[in-house]
Amino acid sequence: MQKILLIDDDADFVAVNEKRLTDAGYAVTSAYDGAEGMDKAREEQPDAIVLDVMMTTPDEGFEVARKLRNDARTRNTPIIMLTGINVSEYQLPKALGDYDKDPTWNPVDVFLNKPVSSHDLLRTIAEVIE
Amino acid sequence: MSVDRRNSGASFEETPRIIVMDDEESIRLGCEKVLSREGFEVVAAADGSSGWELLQEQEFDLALIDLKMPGIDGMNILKLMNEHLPDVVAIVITGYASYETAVETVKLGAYDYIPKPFTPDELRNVVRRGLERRFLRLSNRRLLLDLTEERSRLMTILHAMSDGVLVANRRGELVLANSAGREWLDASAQTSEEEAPSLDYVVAVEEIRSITDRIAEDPHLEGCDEEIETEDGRFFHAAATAIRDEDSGYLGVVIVLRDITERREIEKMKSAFVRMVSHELRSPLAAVQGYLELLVDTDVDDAESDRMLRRCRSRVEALQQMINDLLDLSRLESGAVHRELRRQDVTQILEEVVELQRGAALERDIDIHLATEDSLEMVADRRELEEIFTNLISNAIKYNRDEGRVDVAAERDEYGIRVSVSDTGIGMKPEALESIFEEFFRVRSSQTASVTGTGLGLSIVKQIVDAYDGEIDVSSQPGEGSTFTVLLPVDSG
Repeated sequence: MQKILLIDDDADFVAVNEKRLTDAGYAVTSAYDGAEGMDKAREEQPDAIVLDVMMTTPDEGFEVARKLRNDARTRNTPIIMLTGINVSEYQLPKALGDYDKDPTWNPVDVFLNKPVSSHDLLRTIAEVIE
Repeated sequence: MSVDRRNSGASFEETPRIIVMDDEESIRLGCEKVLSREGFEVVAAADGSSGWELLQEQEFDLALIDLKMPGIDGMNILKLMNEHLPDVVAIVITGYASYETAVETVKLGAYDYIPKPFTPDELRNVVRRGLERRFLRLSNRRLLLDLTEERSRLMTILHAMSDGVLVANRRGELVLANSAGREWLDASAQTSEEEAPSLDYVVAVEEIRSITDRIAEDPHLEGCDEEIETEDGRFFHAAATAIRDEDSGYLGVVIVLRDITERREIEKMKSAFVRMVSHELRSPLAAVQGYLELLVDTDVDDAESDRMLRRCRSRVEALQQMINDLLDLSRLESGAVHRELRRQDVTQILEEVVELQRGAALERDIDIHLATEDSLEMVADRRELEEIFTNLISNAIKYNRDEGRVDVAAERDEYGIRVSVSDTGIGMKPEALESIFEEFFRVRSSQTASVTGTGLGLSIVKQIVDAYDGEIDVSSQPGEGSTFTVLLPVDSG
């Protein structure tokens, strides 16, 4: 069974997506902030991570993404980033850091805007796990 | 030939005034007659002393002076006039016309001389030329004064400007800098490696040099705008305009520097605020949308569907609260608040707010205790007091532990009415305390993930307390609870 890690500080959003993903046949683990998310990502080695941007700080999700990519245990885990902000609002490579070193560096596989439909979320997860 | 008086006199604002100093009565009368007929005002003096007195007492445009007079002679009058009245034109009348005398009188400041005997025509001509001279002297003087004033006025304006003004010539050398511009260059030159002599300031500051170079190289460029970030993190807008002559020859450039650091910061804050609003509005929408999708598309049992619907209601209510809070905050910040200031019984308001919150507290077995003096009164807007107390007490319940306790106390001291709200909840770390009154700041952790709130409540409380010249303080221990204390001065309002 493929395992998905949800990192989001909104308990309702986590509850909804836990049910969506469980119903679709995934094993789901959840974390409510970046630190907890990092721990679970290392311990449980999920097949994909769904990550919120604004948590404790407005760009905590970017920080988590960067740490996940710099950790050997999670380097290759696909990341789907969810954001309540229009993605175009961000200067993405800059927000993600390490831009100066490598402008093509992008730790996130897919960006999705909140709210996201079950259909879009499941399709995207299936795509990144392949 | 008659003298056209308009040539000489028309330029004077008033009738030209002439003094005739001669001990010969016939000369005095003759001059008076001829010159009066020309429309001039003529005053006569029979000796040098009374002539000099008149000259000092009254305003004259021209003096006809006999060299040989009793009292002060003509030569001495000339000397005195040269020293004290340099703008009054002196014309010498002399009985012994000789080249030497003429030279000497001119050296002493006489404008012209007329030898006796003279015809009325000769007199009119010499006076006309003299008055023209007088007019020139006056207008030159006025021009000079105007110029000096104009220049100092311009420089005063230039130096008083908060924008920096720099003018560079075609070689890029600084030819003018107002005070603000000079300060800017000083600050920038200090950070540049080479020690810059004053004229090379412009060249030493690279951003300015690149502007002057660009304009110097492109004959069609009228000007350009640049944003310059200084090393101390300030932002300047530099508006450069080329100065060209009629043939489009490049003469130099005027650069106006404006400090836009604050504007940039406000813009940044504004877009951060908009991002937060967008996030805070979409999160509850996303939750509600997700629940509804599950309810419609999947099989959920009754208990589960009931829980989901309750969460939907709670999130929609929070969304509504968020919109109300945003509107409140925007009103408070713009100062466009209509306050109904009346004498309010703070004790009674606290009792009512506590009663309204008791239901929410009971759901999680939280006890609320209110300790207050009998009647605490102050002049305030009732709705605003309710808003302060409701926000603080509702936070104390939301961030409490189940079966916790909330203590609300109010008392009056020498500074005003002090209301404190303490809880036995999760508390806050010291770093969170610094940001607690910022918009959208919320303590977020797995413990607070299911707590709904707008992140605006405490910002609103702070804004209201500020409006009453009050104070708000918070103390907290992680894991033990927080205490918010509001001090409202009683004589305010």
